[in-house]
Parts: sequence; C-alpha cells; structure tokens
Amino acid sequence: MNAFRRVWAVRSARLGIILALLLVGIAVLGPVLLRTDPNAIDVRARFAGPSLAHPLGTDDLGRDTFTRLVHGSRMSLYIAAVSALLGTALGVSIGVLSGFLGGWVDITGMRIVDLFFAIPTLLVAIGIVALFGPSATTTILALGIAYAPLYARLVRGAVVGVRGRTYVDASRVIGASGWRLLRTDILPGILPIALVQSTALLGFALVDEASLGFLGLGVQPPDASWGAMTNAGRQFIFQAPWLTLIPGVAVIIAVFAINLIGDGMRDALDPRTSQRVGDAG
Amino acid sequence: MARYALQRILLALPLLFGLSLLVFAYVRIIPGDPVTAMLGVQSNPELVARLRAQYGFDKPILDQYLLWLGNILHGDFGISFRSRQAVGPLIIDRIPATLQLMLGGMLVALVIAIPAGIRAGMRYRKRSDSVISTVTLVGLGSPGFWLGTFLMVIFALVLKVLPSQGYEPFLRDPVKSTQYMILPAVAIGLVAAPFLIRVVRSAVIEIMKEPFVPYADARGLGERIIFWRYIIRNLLPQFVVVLGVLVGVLLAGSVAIEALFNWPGMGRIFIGAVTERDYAMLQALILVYGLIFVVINLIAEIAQAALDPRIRLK
Amino acid sequence: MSLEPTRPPVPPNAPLLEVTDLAVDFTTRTGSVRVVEEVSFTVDPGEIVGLVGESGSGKTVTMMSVMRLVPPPGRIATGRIMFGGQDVRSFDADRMRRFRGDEVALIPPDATAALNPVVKVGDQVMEGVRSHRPGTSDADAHRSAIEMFQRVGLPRPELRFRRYPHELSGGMQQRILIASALQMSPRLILADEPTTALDVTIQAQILRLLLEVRDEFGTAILFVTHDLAAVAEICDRVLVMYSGRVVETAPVHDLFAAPLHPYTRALMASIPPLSADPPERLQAVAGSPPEPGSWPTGCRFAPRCELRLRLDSPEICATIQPPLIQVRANHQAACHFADTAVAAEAAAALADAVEAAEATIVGEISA
Repeated sequence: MNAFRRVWAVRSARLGIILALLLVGIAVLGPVLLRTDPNAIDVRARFAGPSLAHPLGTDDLGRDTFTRLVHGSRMSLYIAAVSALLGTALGVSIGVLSGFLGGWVDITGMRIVDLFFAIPTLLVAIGIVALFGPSATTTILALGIAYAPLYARLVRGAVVGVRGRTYVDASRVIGASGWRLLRTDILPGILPIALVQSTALLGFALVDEASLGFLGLGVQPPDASWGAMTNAGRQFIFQAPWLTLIPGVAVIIAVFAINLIGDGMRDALDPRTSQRVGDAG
Repeated sequence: MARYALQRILLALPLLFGLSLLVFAYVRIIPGDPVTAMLGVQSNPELVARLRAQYGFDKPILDQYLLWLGNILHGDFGISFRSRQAVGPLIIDRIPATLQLMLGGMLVALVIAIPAGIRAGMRYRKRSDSVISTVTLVGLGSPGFWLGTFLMVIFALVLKVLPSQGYEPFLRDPVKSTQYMILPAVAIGLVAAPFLIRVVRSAVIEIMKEPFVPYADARGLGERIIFWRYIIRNLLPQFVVVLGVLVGVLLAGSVAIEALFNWPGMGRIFIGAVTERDYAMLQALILVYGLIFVVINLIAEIAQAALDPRIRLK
Repeated sequence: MSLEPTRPPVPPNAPLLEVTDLAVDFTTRTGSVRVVEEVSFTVDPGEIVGLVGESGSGKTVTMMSVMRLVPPPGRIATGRIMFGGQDVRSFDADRMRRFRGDEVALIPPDATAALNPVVKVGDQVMEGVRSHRPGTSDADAHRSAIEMFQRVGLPRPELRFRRYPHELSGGMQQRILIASALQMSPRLILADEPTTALDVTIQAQILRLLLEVRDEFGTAILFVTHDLAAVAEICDRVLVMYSGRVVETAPVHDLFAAPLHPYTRALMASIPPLSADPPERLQAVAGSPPEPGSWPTGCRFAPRCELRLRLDSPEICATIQPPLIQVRANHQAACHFADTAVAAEAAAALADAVEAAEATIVGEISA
C-alpha cells in the first residue's frame, strides 16, 4: 500500500512500526510458545528476584512475572484494540449522523460531545465501570464509550467540511442517494484523519487500561493483563515495587511505539509538510 | 466584553441542566435499582423496601428528579449508602487536599512544559525539538501511577529523602505539608506535562508560520519584542483554553496518585465509592466533578475572549 | 521631526542599491534548486524601479534578498548587495536589525496577515520607533505616528490608532503598513505587490501615495508586481524577470514603446484594451513557465516564444542561454534576436496595441 510506504519513510515511525510488530508478535505467539503457566502458584518462591527459572522474578503468589507479562500483553492489547474499535465505531456513527443531518441534531449532539471533551477519559471510564462492576468486558465498554466523543467531534468536522465542497453538491445534483454519497465521497475524505485518531486512541486505551487495572477496576484476578498485574503490585509497593514498575514499562514501550506510528502517519498524510519549491515567487 | 461573558454564562446554564439530568439518570441506568445493587440480590427484601422508601426510589421519576434537584440546590447531597453520613460534608472535607495536590501539580507541569514547549516550537525540526518531542512521546505513554511509584521508589525508599505517605493540611503546617506533597504533586505534574508541551509546541509552530512574524523581522524589531509581543501574546489566548483541559488531566491523574500515596482527597473516596457501590456518593462526586469542568470551561472561554480581541466579535 | 535619522550620507552620483550577480537557492530534503540566477540591477536615490514577472519568476525572492530575508528553505548563494556603498551581506545580526525597517523598509502584499492581530494598530506602528530610535519619548512617538497616519490619508487617525487590525478595512490596513514603513524615513522602500489585494479605486490611491512619498521624501522604491498598468503609472525604470532571470530592463516609456524581449511583448499584448471593443479572446501567453529545477537548456522562454516560431526555430534558442545585452541606450534584453529586423517589425505591429493599452492606463489615473 502506498500509504504504508509513506509512513515507513518517516524515520521515527519506522522504529514504532518495528516495535509494534514485535509486541504483536509477542502477544500472539508468546503464550503459545511459552510453556510456563501464568497462574501457577508457588508460595515458596514469593517475591523472588530475577533468575534463570524466573527471568523477571515472581509476584506475591510466586507466579512467574515474565510469563504473566507475556500473557498479559495479549489481554491488554486485545482490550485496547477492541475499545479503540468500539470508540471509533460509536464516534464515527455519531459524527457522521450529526454532520450529515445537521440542524438541531447536530447542535445538541455537539454540545453533549463538548461537555465530554473537557472530561478526561479515565474519569468517564471509571464512572461507567462503577455501573456494571469491574471486568475485562466492562473495561472495553467503558473505554469505548469514553473515547467516542473525541472521535465524534473530529469526524463530524470532517463530514461538514467534505459536505461543503462542491463535488459533493454535484453528486447530489446527479441524484446519488444519501448512502452512496456517504460511501463514495464522505468516508474516503475522512479516512486519513480517522486513521491517525484511531492510533492515538489505541495508545490512550493501553494507558487507561493500566490505570483502571491499578485501581482494581479493570481486569480481575486471576486473569493477567498489564493493568491487573500492577494492582497486585500495589498492595506490596514497599516490599516489591518492581511488580508495579515492570508491567508499567511494558505499557510505556507499547504506547511509545504506537505514538511514533501515529505521529508518522500524521506527518505522512499532512500535505503541508511536503513543500513545493516553486511557491517562492 | 461583558456582553460576551454574559452570553457564555447563559449558554452554560443548559449545560448545567443537562449535567444534572445525566447525573440523575446515571444512578438509574443500572438494571434493577441502586439499593438492590448495593445490598446484593440475596438481601432481606424488607430491608431493601425500607431503604428504597427512605431514599425515595419508589416515587415517580419526575418527583424524584425535582426532589433531588431541590435538595442539591439547598446543598443537601444525600446520605452515603455505606457510611450513613451526609455526603456533602464528606466531600467538602476532602476538597482542600485534592486542591492542594492539583495546584502543586499544575505548578510543576507549567514550569516544565511552558519553556520546553516554546523551545521545541521555536526550534521546529531542529535538535532541541527532536529531543523534547521524543521525551514527551515517552511521557505520554507513562501512566500516572507508574510515575508515582517510580518517584516513590527512588526518593522515599532508596534515597529516603522524602516521606512516601502522609498528609498535613497546608494551613496547619506549610513546611510539613509541602514535604508530604512533593512526590505526589511532581507525579501529577509529570503526567500533565507531556500534553501541555505538545499543545504549546504546536501553537508556537502555528504562530511562527503567520506572516506577521517575518514582517516584524523585516521591520528590524529585534528578538525580544518579537518573542514577547508577537509570539507569546498570540500564544496566550490558546493557552488559556488549554489550561481548562489541563485541569481535567490533573484531576484524572489525581485519582490514581491519591490511591497510590494514600492522599486523603476526592480521588480516594471516588475509588472507594466505586468499589463499594455507594451510589449516593458516586452521584454527588460526579456532579461535583462535572460542575468543576463546566465552571473551568466557562472561565477559560471568557479569559480567551479577554486576550484575543477577534473572538469578541462573534 | 525628532525621528530624523543620523545616517552616513550616500555618496552622490552613485546608485543607492547595487545588486550584482545575485543567485538564490532553495534547499529541501530532495535537493537544491536555484530559483534566482545572475540577477543584477541598480536603484538610484529617488528612483522608482519596477520588478515585473509572473508568479514563480523569482521577483519576490530577489526583492527579499535585499533585506536578506529570503523565506526558508531559501538561501542567498552568491551575489553582491551594496547599499549606500556598504556590503549588506557582510552585516552582522545587530547591524542587520538596524538596517531593516530603518534604512530599508518593506511593504508586504497581504496587509491583513502582516499585522499582529492581538496588538492595537497604533502600538504596532510605534514599535518601530521604539526599536530604531530608543530614547524617543512616548509622546513624541505617538505624535509622529499620528502625523504619519494623516500623511498616508487615514481619516481620523486618533480613532484608528486604538483599533485592532481586524476592525479596519483592507485599504486602511495597507495604509498603516505604508505609514509604518515610512516612519523611519527609509532611503529605499521594497513594495511587494502593494496593490494586488485591493480593489481598483484603492489601488489608484495607493499608487498615487507612493509617488507622493517619492516626490516629497526622495525615497527610492523597488516595486514588485505582475501588474503592468501599475508599472506604467509610477515606475521610472522596469526590470522584467522570467524563470529566475532578468530578461529585459529599460526606462518605462522605452519599454512600453518598444519592448525588445518576446516575453515582454507577450505580456503587453495580453492587457485587454478598455477603450476599444473587448477582444474576441483574451490574448494570454500560451503555456506556463517551467518549474524551477527543470529549466530547459538555452533560453528559458523558448518553448513559449512567438518570435522563435516566426524565425523557424533557430537552434541557438534551444542551446545557448541568451545573455542580457545592451541593445539600445539604457535598454537591455536577453534575447539572441532582440535587435533584428524581424523584431522591429513585430514591435511596430504591436505599437498600436500598446498605445491603446497606455490610453486605458492614463484613463485609470485620471479617474
């Protein structure tokens, strides 16, 4: 794909892509290749330091941190991806409807979105988790709903922008139905921005999943996710702070990679960064 | 100017109304009703019925709403399901602690982010910018609790120069209070800083692209004037809006940090209310949070108009 | 006026501005492109010189080079820029700052974008005073600014002084830029398309104002534009640029009476005459100028040149770059066939069209 090549051209994004592929590889293949059981409790080996048997030590129940990290990557990335997808789907729907229909639907919709805009997603997510009780599914739902407004505003702006352009009017004159208009003219127009925003959402989702997990409001034990692992570490913060720090580092690296890709996409897709020499006059 | 301010205030009223509806509906979204959710399905149905009557859940919806709204406007936020105490005073008790943390965090964030953002923007695509932008990118992905833990480990556990837990009201003992406050405030500040740096940086870049900057150069105005009157002065209006978002980021960060450092603020009881399903407390907290955001947003809008004369025309 | 500068006097009988062999490159990630090449010209004290060309001809870059303000990624590659006998390219940062806005002033094309939106207009104009004449009292600075507002024809200057840029019309904004440029009594004004963004009646007023400025203060003006009518109205001498090179230079009447370069002739032919009936078709110059970096060998105008066609495409046009040579007194052109019988014949045929064009311009001035 031509677009992929353009992003690859941005040097910083290249690192991000490589890191991301590595992470996805670990998440998908890791649990399959690793023989150790992430939930294997071994009380005698509690809080062990790094060793051959346990490359990253063990947690409060003697479970191998490294194995849990690998298994947790799958859970965390899965949650982040699905929430981002959900947020995108909800946001695009709201944004397209609002931008397309206009009128009071648009005004009220955007007013509500504006209200949500100022509220940080974590608080919204916590509020939603409070309604249904913490679990992996609730986390996905909560994050998806929390992110939808961010997306909606962007998409609606793009829809209004594309709607205003003359070629869309021309299509209307020819008599194209509303849905066809949506597909052929409006959606392709908003695709680049949507993609960049989705990447950003993916990053936020990982961080928020970790935060929710830390607070005990996310994935519940004995399941492993990076967030859930930090919660276990929270109780033993003085004896073994690395139980919180290690999964956190995984999150930081993953989000760093995602943000690199996102920034690279933005650079590649922004027409202004490619300067035409002839414009000097 | 005054007219614009009034206009914004009036526009905020429907927002507040919407907020109240949202908060009111919030508790009633869950399947069943709040009392059952809190007490559990197996609990004594008589107890459930009594509590329901006590909290007024058996009345028609509109009556409930009006009753609730009336109470709110009188400052009565209801009774906590768990602790059986009035919610209002419980929350108010915790506000100073959170406020202290937020102000500290804001200070840290501003001190770090403003010079960094301006420098990165003015040295766009040069070395300084790359370094700052990369560090910012790493920071964006660092969860607040991680930064807090990291700081705690280094300064409290390893170096032992700062306390890892504890709280002292500022007015009672400023020195001790600050000592306890440093680690959590720095943690929150570090969470908010990357966002701020990014916003400041892109604002500066946009301003530098404007024709009036090279024109000022062509008039031989000198770096000082150009920096303060052309770049900074044009940065201010956008910056004020960002401050509003910043408060949001700080509040979000405070939740995890307060949990980590056992800081007795609003964030702590928020988490407690969530895990204990204390819906009366939750409702009140969400209302308070929502109110804070609406008010901050309003102030930011008005301040922006005060700083950018073009906005007042609309 | 307390704002009189103390400057070294310009050596008499010498040009005020002397640009020799100027070359400007634009360097991007993909490579370096030369957008201005071998440009030389002079401006005498009190002279109004027009720099004419299409967009992309390099005229604006050339003008900005005088102040060493070529927008990035542009850089002056070679060339000598002498102002009042001093080598501008050797100025350090501080001297450069004192040079700009004081001895040489710029009038940019887009007044709305050039003004700082968050500072009142009067304060902006006074910034120049504060930077270049430190020690001037606020009262004096204020008074001189008001005087200048009046001088450029702004009605009720005291009122305008306290306004923000967006509260004023385009014409007023442009006058404020001119006032700002005049404040320091510059010796040379660089006017970059000062009338393009304005409507016709305001254009005429601004042009007249520039003439008055020259007549009253003796300021020289380098006037960049693509509008031949404006050139005819106020310029003393004209330089025509095409694809980064100067292709013709002459006193204004000579240029209009007998243009020697085919490009100049084509430009003039494309002015629709107002007095006669509108032509069936507007005579645009066919084709478009080549992109910098992909210039053809030989004469850059050759692909669009009518004269070349008329002469059966002589090889020399496509192989050898025509140098700027003196063809008549004070009149230079960069064309191998500038001074041939064929050229003379074409010139005569166009003299009528040019006369008609001049008539319409005269009509605009007196309107």
